[in-house]
Formats: sequence, C-alpha cells, structure tokens
Amino acid sequence: MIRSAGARLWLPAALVFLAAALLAGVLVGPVNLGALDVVRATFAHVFGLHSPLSGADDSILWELRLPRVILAAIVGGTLAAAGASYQGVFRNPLADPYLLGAAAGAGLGATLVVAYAPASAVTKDLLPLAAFVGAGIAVIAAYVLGRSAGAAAGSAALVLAGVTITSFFTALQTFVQQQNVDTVQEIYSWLLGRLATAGWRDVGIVLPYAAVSWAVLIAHRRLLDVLAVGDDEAAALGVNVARVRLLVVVAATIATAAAVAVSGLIGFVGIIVPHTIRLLAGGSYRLLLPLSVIVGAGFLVFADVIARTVMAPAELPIGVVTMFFGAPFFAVVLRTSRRTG
Amino acid sequence: MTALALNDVCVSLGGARVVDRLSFDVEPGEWVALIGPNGAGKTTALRALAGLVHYDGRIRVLQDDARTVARKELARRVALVPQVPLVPGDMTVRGYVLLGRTPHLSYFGTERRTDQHAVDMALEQLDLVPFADRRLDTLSGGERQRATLARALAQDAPVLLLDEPTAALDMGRQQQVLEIVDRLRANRGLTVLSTMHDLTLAGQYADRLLLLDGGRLVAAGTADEVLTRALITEHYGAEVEIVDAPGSGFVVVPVRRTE
Repeated sequence: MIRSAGARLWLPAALVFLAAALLAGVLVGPVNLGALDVVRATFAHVFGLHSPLSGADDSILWELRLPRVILAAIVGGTLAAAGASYQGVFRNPLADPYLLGAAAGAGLGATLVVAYAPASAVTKDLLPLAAFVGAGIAVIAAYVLGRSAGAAAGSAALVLAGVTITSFFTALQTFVQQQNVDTVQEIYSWLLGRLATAGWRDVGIVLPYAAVSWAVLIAHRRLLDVLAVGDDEAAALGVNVARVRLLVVVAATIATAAAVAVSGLIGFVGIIVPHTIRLLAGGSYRLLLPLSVIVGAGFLVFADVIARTVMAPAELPIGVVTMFFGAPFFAVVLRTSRRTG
Repeated sequence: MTALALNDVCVSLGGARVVDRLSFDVEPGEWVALIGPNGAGKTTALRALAGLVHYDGRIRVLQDDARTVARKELARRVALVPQVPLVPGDMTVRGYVLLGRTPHLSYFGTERRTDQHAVDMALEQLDLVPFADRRLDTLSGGERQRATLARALAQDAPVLLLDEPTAALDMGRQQQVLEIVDRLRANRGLTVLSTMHDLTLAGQYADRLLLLDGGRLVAAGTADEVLTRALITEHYGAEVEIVDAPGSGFVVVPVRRTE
C-alpha cells in the first residue's frame, strides 16, 4: 500500500462519511425537515440570513438537532483521536482515553454532585465541572504515581498507575452510589453516556478543549510514528520521549475530560475507530490521527442516530449503542482485513 | 582528530558495574569491533555512546564532549542499530527508513525533498527499493536487518554503532550485511563501532578488535594480536584453535576435547 495514495483515497472517503453522518443526524427525527432546507437553514443561521424553514421547524433544527449532532461529532472525534494517541504513546493497542483514570475520576465527580448537591439548576451546571475536575485529578494522580516508580520504568508504570487509580476511584464512586440508592437511575444514565440534553452551551464548553487537543495531537503525528520503534530507539534518534509522551497525554486527557463532562462515559470509540482505520489505511499516525478525528466524529453521530431511533420515542444510552453495534462491526473488520498486505 | 574517544567511562546498572573505566579511541573511517563474552559490557558501552545510559567519565564524539552535545545533535553524529530493534509491523519499509531523518527535523516539522532523497539513497544502497511499500512484518529477518541499517543510513551520521549486526542471520546473510557495511564505510567515509559475537567475522572485517571482559578492556589490537588461543581461553572460557587461513585472516575453531 502506498502511503501518499492512501491519503488521497482515505481522507476524501472519511470526509464523505462524516458529511453523510451529519446529514443523517439532522434529518432523522419525528419531524421531517427536508435535506435541502436543512442545509440552507444551517447556512442562513451561520451567516445571519433568513431561514427557509418555518419557526417551529427552524427551532427543531437549530435548538435541538444541530447542537446535538455537532456535540456528538466533537465528542466522537475527540475520543477517537485521544484513543489513537494513547495507543501510540503507550504502544498498547488496548489503551483508550480512559486508561489513566479519566472515566473513573469523572464518574466520581458526577456521582458526588448527583448524590449530595441539592437538585436545582445550579446542580446541572455543576455536573460537567465536577466530572471535568474529577477526571483531571484522577489522571494527575495516576501520572504522579507512575512517575514516582521512576523514569526507567517508563510507560508500563504509568499504565499500572492508571489501573490503580481507576480501581480506587471506581470503588469510591460505587460506595457513594450505594449510599444514595435513590439517585442510582440518574447516575447510571450519566455513566452510560448521554447526548439527549445537548445544547449549544455544551458545544461551547467542549469545543475550545477539543480544538486545541486536535491541533496538538495532529501536530505530533510524525513523532508518534517515531515512538513506535520504542523509547530507546526514539531517544537514539534525538527525540525527548518523556516530553512527547507528556504533551500528548496532557492534550488527549484534557479533551477527553471535557468530552466526558458534557456527554458522560461513551465507551469503545477510542478503541474501535483507530483500529478500524489502522486495518484499512495502515498504521502510520500521519494519516491515522486526522482520520481518527473525522471518522470518530461521523461514527458517534451515526451511533446517536441509532440511539434515538431504534426504540423511539425512548432513547438508548449512546454508550450502549457504541458497544452493541461497534463490537460486531469491529469483529467483521478484524476478520476480513487482517494480514492482507 | 578522533571520531570517538572514551576516557575512564563507567556505567553501573542496578548497582553492578557493567562498564569499568573503559578508555579507547576510534579514528575516522576505522572499523572497530568490540568483542568479549556475554555480559562483558559491549552493548552497554554502545548505549553509553548513544546517550542512552547514564555514565561517569568522559565521552567525546567528533571532538566534543558528548554531555555538552544536545540529544538531537548527538543523533546527527551517531546512528545506533540495536541488536533487537523494535519493529512496528504495520509500518512500511519506506515509512520506517524515513524515521532516520528525525534528528534533522524540527519538533513539529515534516520531511522535505532532501529528506526523501536521503531515504531513496538509503533504500537503493541496501537493495530495498522493491520492498519500499511492503509492511515490515512481511519481511524476512535478513530483509528486516537491512531495513534497520537503511534507517541508520538515512540518519546521515558519520558514526555508525552496530550492536550484533549479524545476530540471527544465516551465514550468507551475515557476510552480505557485513560487506554492505564495509562498502558504506568506504563510500561514505563512515566510522563503524560494532559489537560482534563471531570472532572469525570480527577479525575479517574490523581494523581493530577490542576485547572486553567484566566491563574492562583486556586486550586491543589487530586480529592476530587479539585472536590468540590464550586470550580466548582465558576470557571466554572456551576451548579453541586459531587457524591461520591465508587470505581470509584467522579462523577461530571451537574444539571439543574428548578423553
């Protein structure tokens, strides 16, 4: 497979996939809006023109569907890119964005707010913040713990520290949840991921982190390829391995924490999307990282469409969809494309 | 002008002194082989030269104290081919060789035409052009070894450190790789420091042999000075005969004593 030809083939394909997902995302729903009008109304909003849709339809598009679709795209792109980057810096195919405890920390933060803060509008605002802070504390704790094992221990120590912190925070979270059985439903729905309440505010919260993170991760794509030959050989090639790893982990983690804060815990995206791309388009991070952002975005938008249609008017938790439909799909990709090169 | 100069270099790993007051020079264009039994400190000495382990004493690389040379600049001067390179199987040969250009790029930089040209040259010199777009996990051991050498060559460093370049290769591939290294040394004026297990090959290809034991330099010189029965018996604990094969140097033959 020729690398540059791969880029020429896969980048446009990924963009078409994302465009199809976005269109499906805004079109599918109880009210039929019409593809052309949806596109024109979206442009009208962006450039301050008159929308061709009626007032009610316009609100459905602009207040309900579009923010939800955009949020799904940002979260999906972030989780996939963060997953790919984690797999690169830890040289571990099973690494996902939650490897260093981000999920457990965010879960604990969210659970504390749901369980102990009095229900009010303020609480709703507090939840993303608590999840973000919880994720941050967990990852920093894991990093400090991993580094205390000595730089020589390298990435393995960091991974073990992440496992340790995850267990500890999960234990705390479970304990708090058991003490407050009346809120289990609410906590559980958060843990399984939710985009149902998405609004432009959520998009505003996560977008700055996501944009910076994507830029930093994609800028490291060449160095992630260098890390593939191991810490020692990368160092012999003049790379400061510890610094690259720290920068990539920080960028991936902050964006993951922001994504988790607004959408809860959506599993498997960070594993399935990068690996599917690897199997189809090759393992180089030069192509893998940009593709992960694009395909991850499209993947989560499609997953969300499924989540809100299969049992309509009820909604499936999106985390259930990503795993239920993601796992068989991944199994097929794994079977058909392994070792064809 | 010396290419490499070690002065009282000591390395301790896990409390044990692995390299002990090691001093030697390597002249530009010279091929020097580090020989010695397992655990003699050969690999560690190479790793110290590549800046991968902490050491005491002084190492000079192209006249400059290695401690004062930035990591990236050191990688522009010294290329290391490890004994067992970590091979990312899903990378193409070309992508892998391209990694050799890393020390020539800025942090966020990407390769330019000169870098691609260096890769083309390296692929050509190691007969890897037909393999350029193959994945590394589809190559044989010998082809992979050539890919690793090509990566080191693309690095464009005047000093080449080879850790057991012929380990795990059959007799023909061993000769092939060593001939390539010798040709590159002549064409590009490279300085080569390699560790070698096969004493016969070491004697045939290297200008000088340095015999290490217990981290110390115990003998140095040309093949006929170092490949003696007494030295090898003492430091390898091996029963050998040294056979002078005119035109091919000295052949070290293991001998089985039967009562």
